[in-house]
Amino acid sequence: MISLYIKCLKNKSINRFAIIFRLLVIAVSLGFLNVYASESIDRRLQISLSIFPKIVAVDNGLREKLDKKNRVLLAFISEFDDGKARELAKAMRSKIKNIAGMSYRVEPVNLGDILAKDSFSPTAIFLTERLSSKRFNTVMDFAMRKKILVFSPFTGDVERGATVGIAITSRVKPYFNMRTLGASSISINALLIKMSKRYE
Amino acid sequence: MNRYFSHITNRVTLNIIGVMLLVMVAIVMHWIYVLLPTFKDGEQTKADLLVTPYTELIETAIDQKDREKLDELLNRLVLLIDPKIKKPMVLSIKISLVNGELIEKRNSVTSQYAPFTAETPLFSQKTSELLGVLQLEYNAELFNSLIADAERRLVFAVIVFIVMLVFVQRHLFRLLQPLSDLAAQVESVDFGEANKLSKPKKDIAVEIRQVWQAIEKLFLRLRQRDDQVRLEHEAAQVALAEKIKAVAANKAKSQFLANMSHELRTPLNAIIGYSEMLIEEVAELGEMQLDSDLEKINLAGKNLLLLISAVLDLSKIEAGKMQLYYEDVRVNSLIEEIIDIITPLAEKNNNVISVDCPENVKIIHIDVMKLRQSLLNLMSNAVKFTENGKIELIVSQKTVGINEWISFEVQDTGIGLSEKQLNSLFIAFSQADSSTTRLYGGTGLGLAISRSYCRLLGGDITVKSKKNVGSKFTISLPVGRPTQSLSTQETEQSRSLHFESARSALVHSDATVQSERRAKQMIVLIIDDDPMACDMPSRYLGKSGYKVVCVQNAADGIAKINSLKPDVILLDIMLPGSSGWHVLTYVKEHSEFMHTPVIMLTMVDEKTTAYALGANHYLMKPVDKDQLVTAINRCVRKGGIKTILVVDDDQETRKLLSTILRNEGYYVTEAENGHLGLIRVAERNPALILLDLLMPGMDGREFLTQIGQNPKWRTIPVIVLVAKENTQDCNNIVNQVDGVIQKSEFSIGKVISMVKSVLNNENTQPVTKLDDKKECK
Repeated sequence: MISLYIKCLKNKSINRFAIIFRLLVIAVSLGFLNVYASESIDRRLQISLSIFPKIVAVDNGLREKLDKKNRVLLAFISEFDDGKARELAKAMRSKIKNIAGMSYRVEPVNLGDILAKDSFSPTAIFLTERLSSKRFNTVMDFAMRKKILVFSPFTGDVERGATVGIAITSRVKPYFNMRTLGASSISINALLIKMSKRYE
Repeated sequence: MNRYFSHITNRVTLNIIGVMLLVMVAIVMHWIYVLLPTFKDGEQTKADLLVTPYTELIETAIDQKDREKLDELLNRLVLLIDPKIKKPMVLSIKISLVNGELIEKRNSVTSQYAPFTAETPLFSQKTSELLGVLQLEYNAELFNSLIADAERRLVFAVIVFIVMLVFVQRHLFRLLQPLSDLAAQVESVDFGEANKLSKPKKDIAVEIRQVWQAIEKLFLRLRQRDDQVRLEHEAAQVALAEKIKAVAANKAKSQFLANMSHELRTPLNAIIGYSEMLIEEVAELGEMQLDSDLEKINLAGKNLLLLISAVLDLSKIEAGKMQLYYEDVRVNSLIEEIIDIITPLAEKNNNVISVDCPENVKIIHIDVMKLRQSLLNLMSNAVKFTENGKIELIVSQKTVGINEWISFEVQDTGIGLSEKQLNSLFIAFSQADSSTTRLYGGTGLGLAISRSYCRLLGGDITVKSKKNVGSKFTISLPVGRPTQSLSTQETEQSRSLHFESARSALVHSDATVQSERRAKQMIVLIIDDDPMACDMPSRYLGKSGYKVVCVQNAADGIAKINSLKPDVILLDIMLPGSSGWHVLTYVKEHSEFMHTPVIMLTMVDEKTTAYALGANHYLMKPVDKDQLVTAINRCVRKGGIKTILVVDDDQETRKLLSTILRNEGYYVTEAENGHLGLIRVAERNPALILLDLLMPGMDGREFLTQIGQNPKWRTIPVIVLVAKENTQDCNNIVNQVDGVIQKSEFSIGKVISMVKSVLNNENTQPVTKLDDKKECK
């Protein structure tokens, strides 16, 4: 597309100012979209931080998924932006004292590290950035193998296989992928499931 | 159904109903699929939002197991009042804890509508564990009241729509009713004066009023047109009646003219014929004192005949019955003929005539009779109204587009015409003014007839004139191509050769017929019931050497034709019993007689029929003697009448000799000098030449030399005319000629006897020797 525009600019018969003006419009539009998207993602991440521990708490197999020190281990996974993962982990720590009366640990983890260390067994995974399909599937394979839930605050991730996310209408509700739940052999309190949004 | 839809009112009503139904369906669908779910979602959202701020407080109260606080919170929720419906917003609150405990608060108010339910999980603020579920029943009365309100409005809208529909229909009906009234009136109007459209009502629509007024105007115009048509019809009826009267009058006029011409011509025939005979008798008897009186009678008769002929011609032209007879005409000959006729008149007024006829004007294809009459009229007018002046006749021919036109300009230096006189110049029976008639005579028909002739021929006569200066009349006529292929150049170059061969044929023919004529006298059979028509021709044809036989009906005529086998037949049309047509048909149908010349001699103008049936000539009664003899001679010449050339510069002598010889049955050509004489010989090889010796230009002596040099011409016998004082000259040439006549001893008998003698000798022996008559005395 860009090469096409460059060709057009070299062609003297075409109005260069019109092309430059269009490029500017496209650039500005893309910029606004990017800003709006990043703001929207930040809000979803902040809301998710308060819901995520509650979801982890209603996992009926929570006690079997604790680390060696009987702590809840929450893995905040990133692929490129590790700083964001750390920032979110820090925010989580400041908000939440315990989960289901148990101490917890938040560990920002790069995706590459998870793949390298198969021995890593967190209680639940929180995706801090939107992953590509391949990476997302790798994470989901890992989680299902470990029978742990994957929380993704990003729109559309529940539909593509994430265990749980959020649905925002007049209220914020948990949003469960029932197939993934079944495939991961994760049991969630039925009362909550009943009041949550479900993706069958 | 179609009839129902053809009414504008019904059509508009149905259109409105259709549109409104579509609108209502759209509204209902929008209500069901858009507005109602939105309202429901809105109410549900309100219920959810109502719970949200209390959730954390309730979770904290449960965490702290503070029942009082929990009850207070729940009571606060239950007490909330909707400002719109002034009723509690929450009907009941129920908390189901995970340990099975149930906490419930219910409002005393009940609602007939099913409430909206809002549910939310309760998590421990301390451990994030699930504490239970909070269920809230939200009062749906507001929502249902809104629904009911919307339904009421919809019903109201439908009612309003129906009312409007009825109103529109009635309004439309009222609006269009005047159109129906107008249609009814238009149908009943019959355009009579009293039957007009009524005035439109005051409250009708402007557009309909305009239509009404337009139709009123249309009716007005139609009535006016009807009136006009009626007037035109009446005028046409009057015109038709007048036309019928005019046709009847014209028919009566034609009948009158035909009768009168017959009645007038019959006595004129006698007057002219007998006066001519008496003139001859008087001349022979030497009673010259009677000659001028007889000439006056003859002239008066001829003038009267001319007048009658002119009136008849005019009548025929007006009736559109004048017919044209096209033939090839040698313009030079025609001009010469006209000049010959006009010259004596011109000389009488001491006028000079000049002719300009270019060489390229040779033969044209035209009705020569009409052209001759028109030219004669113009020329005779010119010489009549000019004294001591000059008359010019200029002929020219030119090509305009694809047509050839010939023009004859007759210009004089006479009295001329004023502007006023020019305007009435071509009107029948009108001359320049009455004084003109008194001074110059004439009927005033000549120019009218001439112009009519020229217009019949496709041309016209124009005139330019200036008072006391002179006039110029121009005849312009389209001319067709001659049927003969005689181009000018060919004629000039091959003249001698052409006439040489013609001469040979003529000499041979002449010889044969001459012998027959000696053996048998030519018989002319006249078939006419009028005894006078037989009497006069018998007398002057007898003098010309013909034997005349008369019969008075067709049956006798046919019998005589069979018994006598006449050389020429003179035939009248109106005969007792069978008509002349029967005789003509009989002659032309029998191979034995079909070559016998038939000359129609009648008062009936049926020239076309006569020629179509094979007549050779057509003469109208009363016919003058010369005309008849010439016609007969022409017919007989075809079988062998001899041609005699008279070469003399003296016109009177020429005329006298021509008359004498024509009376004897010869065909005479004339030349006024030797040069013209040679041309005449080349044109028509004569049997005899009467030659004057003293002439301007080429004289008789040189003429003889030229004749002698041509081997084909040297055998032509020549009789010379010499004056007494030129005896020496006579003696010098006497050996070269066949006879000599002294002009001083000139007499009819001598001329005839010498001519006959020479011609007889010519047929019996070569004319190279002198006889006893060839002496100069």
